[in-house]
Amino acid sequence: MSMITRRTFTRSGVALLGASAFARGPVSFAKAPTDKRLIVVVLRGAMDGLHAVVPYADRDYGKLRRSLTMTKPGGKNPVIDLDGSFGLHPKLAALKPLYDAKEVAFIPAASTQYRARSHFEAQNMLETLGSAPYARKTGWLNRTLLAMNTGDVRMGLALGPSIPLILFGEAGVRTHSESRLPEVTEDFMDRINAMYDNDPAFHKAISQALEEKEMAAGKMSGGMMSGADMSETMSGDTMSAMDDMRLRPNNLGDTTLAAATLLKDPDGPRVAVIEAGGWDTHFGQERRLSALFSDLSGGIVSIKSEMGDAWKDTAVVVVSEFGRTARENGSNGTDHGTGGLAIVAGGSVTGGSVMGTWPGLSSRALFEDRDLMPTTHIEGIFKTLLRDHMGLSESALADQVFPDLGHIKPMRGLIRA
Amino acid sequence: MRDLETYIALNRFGLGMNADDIANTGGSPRDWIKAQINSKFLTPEALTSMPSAANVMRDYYSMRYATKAGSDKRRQANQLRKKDFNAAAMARMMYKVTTPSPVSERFTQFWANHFTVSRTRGQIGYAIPAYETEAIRPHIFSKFENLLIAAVTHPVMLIYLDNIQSIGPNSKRGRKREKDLNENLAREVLELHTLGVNGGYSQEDIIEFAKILTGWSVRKFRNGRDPNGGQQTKRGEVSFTYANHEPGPKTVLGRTYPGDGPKDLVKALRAIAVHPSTAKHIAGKLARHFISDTPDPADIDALADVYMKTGGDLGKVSLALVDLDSVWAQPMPKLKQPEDLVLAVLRADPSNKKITRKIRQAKLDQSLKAMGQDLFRAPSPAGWPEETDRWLSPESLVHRIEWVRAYASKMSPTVNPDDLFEATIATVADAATKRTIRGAPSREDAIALIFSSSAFQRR
Repeated sequence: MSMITRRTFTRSGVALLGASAFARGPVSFAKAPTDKRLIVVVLRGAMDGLHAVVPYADRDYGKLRRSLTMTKPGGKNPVIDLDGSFGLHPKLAALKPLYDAKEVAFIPAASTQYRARSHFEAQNMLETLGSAPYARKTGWLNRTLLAMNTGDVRMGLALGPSIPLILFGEAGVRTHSESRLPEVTEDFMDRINAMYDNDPAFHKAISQALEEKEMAAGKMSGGMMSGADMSETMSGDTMSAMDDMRLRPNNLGDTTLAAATLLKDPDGPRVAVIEAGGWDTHFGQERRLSALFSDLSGGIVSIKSEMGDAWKDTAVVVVSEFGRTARENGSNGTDHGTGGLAIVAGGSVTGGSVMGTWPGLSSRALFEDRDLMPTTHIEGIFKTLLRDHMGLSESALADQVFPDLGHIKPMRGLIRA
Repeated sequence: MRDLETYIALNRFGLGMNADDIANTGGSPRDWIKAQINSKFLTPEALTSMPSAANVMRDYYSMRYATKAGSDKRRQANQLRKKDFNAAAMARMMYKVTTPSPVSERFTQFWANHFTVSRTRGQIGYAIPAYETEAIRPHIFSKFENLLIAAVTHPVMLIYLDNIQSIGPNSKRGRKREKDLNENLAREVLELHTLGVNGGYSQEDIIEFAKILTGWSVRKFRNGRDPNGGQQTKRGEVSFTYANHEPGPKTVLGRTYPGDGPKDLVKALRAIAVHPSTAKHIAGKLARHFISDTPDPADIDALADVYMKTGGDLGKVSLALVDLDSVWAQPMPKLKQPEDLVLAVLRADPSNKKITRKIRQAKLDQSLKAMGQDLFRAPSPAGWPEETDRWLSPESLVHRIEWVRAYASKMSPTVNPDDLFEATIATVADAATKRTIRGAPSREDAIALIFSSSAFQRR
């Protein structure tokens, strides 16, 4: 799905919801201290990096992934080759032209300092970058805005109904929301259903509700059941019903377009955060990630096309709270892991390669014999983006943005000199 | 929060829990409940400072009789009335979210529902918050007869159940205009408010009681005094209209009242209030509300016994309810009704400083309607249904889930789901609930799952 729908978003319809900005009198948006733009895409739920940028040449790969395995180009389930060792999932094909134009870099085995496997602790770490989860109360991008002295001119932009923790803090932030309420996603309803397992009355009510939705969905789609994608291990009929509902995983396409439209304005914001859920693929991973990868790659491409000239000043970084297990689990999915994938795209990025150190997939090479061993600090990627792309000083990084990360060096070679 | 008694106290008798509530129980949840069975929490300034029901009705009548339908003046008048109502409804909600005495609020809700009035009767809609403040709140821990008299003789109830249209056939106006009784209020007082449907009254009792009720009306036009006696009353207030009152003695439940105007009603209500059927009916309702849809008959008997021995002292009956062994045991089979679910979420939100804004943003009235509880608009004089099955419909549950998911996304990103879990359902959450919440893919999802869990929704 490389076509981006403009269903809900039009340029003329761009409305900044941060109306309270005007309560303090006319606010100038023109005083941006930089022309550089930074878009941070947070994939909540933990993306399986091994399924996105596939190490098809690693001899241990096929042992770890069975139903999820992909093959070298020309094989049975081929990837799109990047460099003879790694290949893209076919639904990320839209990123290949950017890769060829050296405008996107893939960084496998990237991780924050966090080593446990709780989603919300890990996301808290990713967003606050304190010494431990919940140790800091503000988001590092908000601290970035303070360091850029943009507090009054609201150079931060949250795409969504609320300000995510990563942008939360003293500096003013605008929000832009496509829809009034966040959708209750298929993934969330799956979890609700699992949670009601031991309460028969709740379980019965939710099962009936899901069956009714399934019937409605079946009528609309003419029955789009795809047996191959069905989860084999999730219990009962309702899970099948859920699998078939095919709710839209998220609004990434619309959201990225909105972000680009707002950011390309010379007087617009400079730092934007886009969130996307649905990545916690404990089951039915191939089917779910196919839809999400289409959305994600299409979204990144749409940013480039919408940004126009401003693309040269833009960096987009895609991160997730952690990776997933190297081995696939018993339900055609993967569980919480450690080393994940970071994607950095943009006109100012030194792309066209798979960066960092590949740790390997042998049993000994894995972290706790289970997860891809982290070899690149996500914090280092952020440091590089802020210093070399956004132009923050070392001292601002050390004192204001990342006071707890003195020991982590910026990643080298990521931004064009 | 590791204590089942605390969980039970705060959910079965309270409005859900947060860290402050837990601290307030001081390790002695039963005493915490009992301390709130006390009238001192019932009439806070925040509510008593709102416009009185009589004033709301006065504004209604002046709009209705002094402006033309469809005119700008009527529209403006109605907007002002709506503004007052919104302020009163907000003050009511705010008090429930912030009060340190949620137990008093639960009993208030129980009794307001027992004496339901509803916006289905349009003209009284905006006066319902005031009705709760005036007729219900001050009396819920006093003698039942005081509560009964206050509710039945309140202008909002007299309008809601048509008593202002009821005219004794042999009254002055009845003879002249051939108008007749309206039995509505008489029937509902006996069937719903006191004796109960099988409480041992006959159709004849209803008719006789309706005759006693004739004359109890609301002054629609100018302030004044009834030409046949009584006090000076203002527009919107209750006034006894002698011209509508059925003359002569009436016999209700074997007791004869002489027919001396407004005093008969008070006497009759006092007698009905201490009838054994009333004791049994109220004991059963309390047990079904606070314990289970199918309470142990022995519990009902125990409460009815206290009721009879104390002459219907609701404070004593409430204390006896708290001391029943069955309320301190699992399972917790009841479900928080939508309003209480919303209150529990708001109270559990540790960042609820900007609570007014949050209440507005949460679009509570629309959301509650979707969940099946259109606030102030109970479907019938019997009030909101009590049975858990009635509230746990698939559609309603989905609306609950959608609302808490949306609310969770509006909460401060600094809220730690682990802390929230500890402060709410940690004691009783089952393995599937714990596992699902722990595995939630985001903070917002984790919070929404906590609020969606049956441990949070039940009581």
